[in-house]
Amino acid sequence: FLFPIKMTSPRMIKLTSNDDKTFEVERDVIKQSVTVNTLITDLNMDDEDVSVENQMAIPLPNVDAATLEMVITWCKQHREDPPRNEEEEEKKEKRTDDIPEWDKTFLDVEQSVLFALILAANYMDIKGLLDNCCKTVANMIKGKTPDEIRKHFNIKNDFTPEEEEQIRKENAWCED
Amino acid sequence: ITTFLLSVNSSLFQNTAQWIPMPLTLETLPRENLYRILSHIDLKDRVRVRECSQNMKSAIEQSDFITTKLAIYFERDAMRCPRLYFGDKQECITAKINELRDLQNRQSQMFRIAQINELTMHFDEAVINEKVLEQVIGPFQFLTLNVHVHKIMQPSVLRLIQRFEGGNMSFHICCFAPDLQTIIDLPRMKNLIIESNNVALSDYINSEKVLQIIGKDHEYTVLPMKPFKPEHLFRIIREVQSNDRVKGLTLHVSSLNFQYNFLNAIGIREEGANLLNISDANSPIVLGQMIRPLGRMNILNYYLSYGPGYLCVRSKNHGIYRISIVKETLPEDAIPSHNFTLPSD
Repeated sequence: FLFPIKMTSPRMIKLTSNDDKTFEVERDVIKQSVTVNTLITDLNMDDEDVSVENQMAIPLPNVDAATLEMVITWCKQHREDPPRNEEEEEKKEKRTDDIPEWDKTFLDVEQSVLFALILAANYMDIKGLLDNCCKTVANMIKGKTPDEIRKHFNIKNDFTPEEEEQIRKENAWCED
Repeated sequence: ITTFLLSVNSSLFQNTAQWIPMPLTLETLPRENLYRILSHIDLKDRVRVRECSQNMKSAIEQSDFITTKLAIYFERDAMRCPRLYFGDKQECITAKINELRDLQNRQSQMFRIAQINELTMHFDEAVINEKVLEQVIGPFQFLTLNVHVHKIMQPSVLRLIQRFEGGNMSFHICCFAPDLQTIIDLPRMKNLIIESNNVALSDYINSEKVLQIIGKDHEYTVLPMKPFKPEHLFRIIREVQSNDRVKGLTLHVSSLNFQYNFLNAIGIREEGANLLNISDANSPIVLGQMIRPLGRMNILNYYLSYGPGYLCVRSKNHGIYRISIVKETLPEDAIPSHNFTLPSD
């Protein structure tokens, strides 16, 4: 017997950013977002009888279009990644030298963009993206003096000279 | 649709109110995210972030997980910064006890994280009592434990210390102008170090009482903060050398004046002092110059005790140089091969 092969296009999900831009993204791609994934399941949005045209868009009020686009790009790149075991991840030694090359390039952006990605990844619960963003920022901090950190992150030194002296004294123990 | 979604899964939108407006910076990131970033950097870098601004300082101090991790290091080297992350002293000690209890349940983890094999605890007079000691010291008797107690002369506390003393523990009692009779009456404890500061130092020396203390087999630590006469120190050094009962003498070099005086006392003039100030204080040559006048016997012991306990010179950044001169002689063949040139007279 020969059965006709049903050619199914990938299931698409609509996401709307806080500036009202709607993105269509493959279900398999966006499953990396625990938040979106849970919502899809909770709302029975996996029903194949509903066409993408009739499907409701999931609003992501904490993510702007530019950031959401980046998140989707990241998710596409990492769609084949094995699912993370958070317990195992917690046990792992904390490292920041294990960011994949692609991510390093992808995350080589302005700080405001990087921080927006962190917020989006946190909100959408995409642990892999969140981790790599945080590691990227951590790498920017590592080995810098307080002055260099201030400069790099445009932090205003609002200590009085006395306070600064005091905190320097307090921190002297770690400056071998 | 939005209304429907909100009603179905309101949790998704709960965080909306916390949305931080642009521009986003490290400072304006929600704490949760900041902490995640900080979890990827080590203690030293976190402490530097704390130094950046009021906001960062407050963020770090309010973080439980950072405090815990910092506390581990903090305990290990508490002498340097006894109140880094806590407010008043009482709060400090309370938090410490809780953390130590927690650590007690996670000993293996503690060792893994901080590689602690020596724990230093720092107590101040205001907070120390038997209960505190029992709670804090008790669980950690398996460690090489340095307990630093300031100004503690109450007999009940001393008795308790004596009870815990032994094994790998050592007690470092820092007495600021203590009552000499109290020191002399202390129970004999093999690892007891008594430390005194400047206030009555010259009195001790002049009154010869310091020699009585040394004569009791205690290792005595002098912590001079203000200039004193080199000949006093020189006399003590000579006494240590000639007194068979004396285990040793520890000197804390904690000021430039002291370095100058000490170097003068042992025959090194200004160039020696400059050398000490500008060089790596761990350099055997510098130390060799400092202890040269004390005789070859001490040099031998210096070689053999180069490291923790006997001859230990801390970074000049901390302003404290500790020099212990041990008295026991050792056979010539026990000298480890060392690329060291003793300056000639």
